[in-house]
Amino acid sequence: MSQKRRLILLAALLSGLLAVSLGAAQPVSALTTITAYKAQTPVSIDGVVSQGEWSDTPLIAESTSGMNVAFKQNGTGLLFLLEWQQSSSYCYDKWCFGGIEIANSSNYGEMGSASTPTIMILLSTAFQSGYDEFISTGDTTPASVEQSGYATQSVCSLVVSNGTYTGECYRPFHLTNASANDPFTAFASGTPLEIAFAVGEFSSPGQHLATDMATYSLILSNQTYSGASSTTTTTQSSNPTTGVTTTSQPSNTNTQSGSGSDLLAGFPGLNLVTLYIFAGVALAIGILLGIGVALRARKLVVRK
Amino acid sequence: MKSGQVNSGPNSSVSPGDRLFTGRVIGSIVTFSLISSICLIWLVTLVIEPMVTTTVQFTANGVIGFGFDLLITILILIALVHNSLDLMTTAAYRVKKPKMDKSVPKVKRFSLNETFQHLTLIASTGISALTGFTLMFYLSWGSSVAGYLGGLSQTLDIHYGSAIVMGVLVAYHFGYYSAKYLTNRLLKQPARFDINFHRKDISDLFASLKFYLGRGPKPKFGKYSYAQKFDYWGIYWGMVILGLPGLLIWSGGLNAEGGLAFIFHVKEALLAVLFLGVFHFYQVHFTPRQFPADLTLFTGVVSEEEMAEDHPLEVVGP
Repeated sequence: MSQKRRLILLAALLSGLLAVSLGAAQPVSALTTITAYKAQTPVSIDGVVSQGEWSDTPLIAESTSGMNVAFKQNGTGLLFLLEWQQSSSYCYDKWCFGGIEIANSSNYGEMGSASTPTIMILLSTAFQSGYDEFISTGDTTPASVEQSGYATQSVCSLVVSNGTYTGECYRPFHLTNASANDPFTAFASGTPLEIAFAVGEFSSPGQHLATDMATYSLILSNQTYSGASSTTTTTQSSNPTTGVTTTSQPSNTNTQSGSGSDLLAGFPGLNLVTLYIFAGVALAIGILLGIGVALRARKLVVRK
Repeated sequence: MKSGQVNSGPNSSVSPGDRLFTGRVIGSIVTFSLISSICLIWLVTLVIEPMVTTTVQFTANGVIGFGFDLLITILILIALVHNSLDLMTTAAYRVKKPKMDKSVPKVKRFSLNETFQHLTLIASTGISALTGFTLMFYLSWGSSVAGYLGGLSQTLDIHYGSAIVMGVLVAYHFGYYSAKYLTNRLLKQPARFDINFHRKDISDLFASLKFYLGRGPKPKFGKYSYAQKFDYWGIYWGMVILGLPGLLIWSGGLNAEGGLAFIFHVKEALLAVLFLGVFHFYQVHFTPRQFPADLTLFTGVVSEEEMAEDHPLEVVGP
């Protein structure tokens, strides 16, 4: 193949790939909002979903963690329900856990950092009381709030029945002996929280499913839930028969990666958008280098 | 490209009829582009973005963290630009890959001892980097890797194990060469530390930049070029900066995780990996002259022709 043809072929290939990359690239979605509506029915924190107990708020099937979650507020605190199934790959013994992570800073990744800690509320039969709270500052093993000199704020109950884990929790807005970084200090005034969901195994921590902090935010509403209507910012669909609301998965998440700007929490590159950016940058560098080589070589030629 | 006469340049046994975009050049461009883009995304996401979006805290940790981020950014960008210019020039001159068949006369460049050290370095660095980043990004992709390695604590044990090997290697390396140098001096034999920086390296750097921009001849190097020295010290000095804070974290000292030692360890680890990707791999293996690999450190020998071309002052003396 002649030199000219090679160049043309190379340029065409690179241009085509660049065009495909740019064309397919999509902007990163905003946080998906989950609303904690005003409670109309009381909740008994016993790990058992009684008739009508959670029918006053949407039950959200969170697809990444595989949990069904529901939130509402009763004026004094947040009530939430977490339901997940036993799994042979990431939840198979007493070390199975499920829970939420909350923060009021832009964490984007997971497990916070020293300057922007997060609070984790984890439920597991591994805990004596069935649940515990943790402060996470980016370490692989977060410290329980008691270890840090604070008190657990939530009251939870976990019941495992036929492979289904059901956790019910209440967390008051008014905190007592809580970390200054506890996001609930600002949450009560109406500021949204960043929230993430996780299900996994303490005995084999590599096996877990989790969203990152760039996926969902939780807001308080003084409105009551009106059934099929929804105030969330992204696509939700309700099944009128089951009452289960399915939240669509934003494009910047996958099961185990964060989009993180936080050195310790997230990692770039494992989702589709970053893949396109990577391809685009690589192509741009390649094209520039190719042009550079050609121009440099041209300069070296002394024409007759 | 129109035919004409090519200016003489490095390894310039070339003629205008020689193809410019050979498989080797394309391979070099593609590999360099891919690695550079990965490193750039890491750099932007993990270093530059947090650096510009986070208010600097005027505490020791805050200032040192910011300084480290700035250093990483500057070094990696300089390395990227330098190697891009090098690639364009090397490819444009149509330099040949050095022949290493049986017919070519060779000279010894590295001893078996050095080959063994390098193999140990590759293994310990690779394992430390894999397990270290697995731990750092544990709750994102790291958890999957940790699962393959047998869980979190086993990953940490492997990290400690490879760190010990690396620490022993560094101690042996510096100890061996220092002892050799001092012994030679005592015995009044020639004692050289070729790998040390000299004033000439600075002038070589500027001469190289001129050469890359077509404004001067290629500078002549001794046993090691300024880039090779930079590469060497970047890696070995980096291991010291990485290892000492690592030991502190291991023993729970200097505020352990989240503290000053942790900042040094994590940032230096990031710099080391980016540096290896952007600088070392290109300089040694992915340059159009050597692509896809230069095996000198494993074979221990180079051809006389390559030595004369790349290290003329070592052959004929300054």
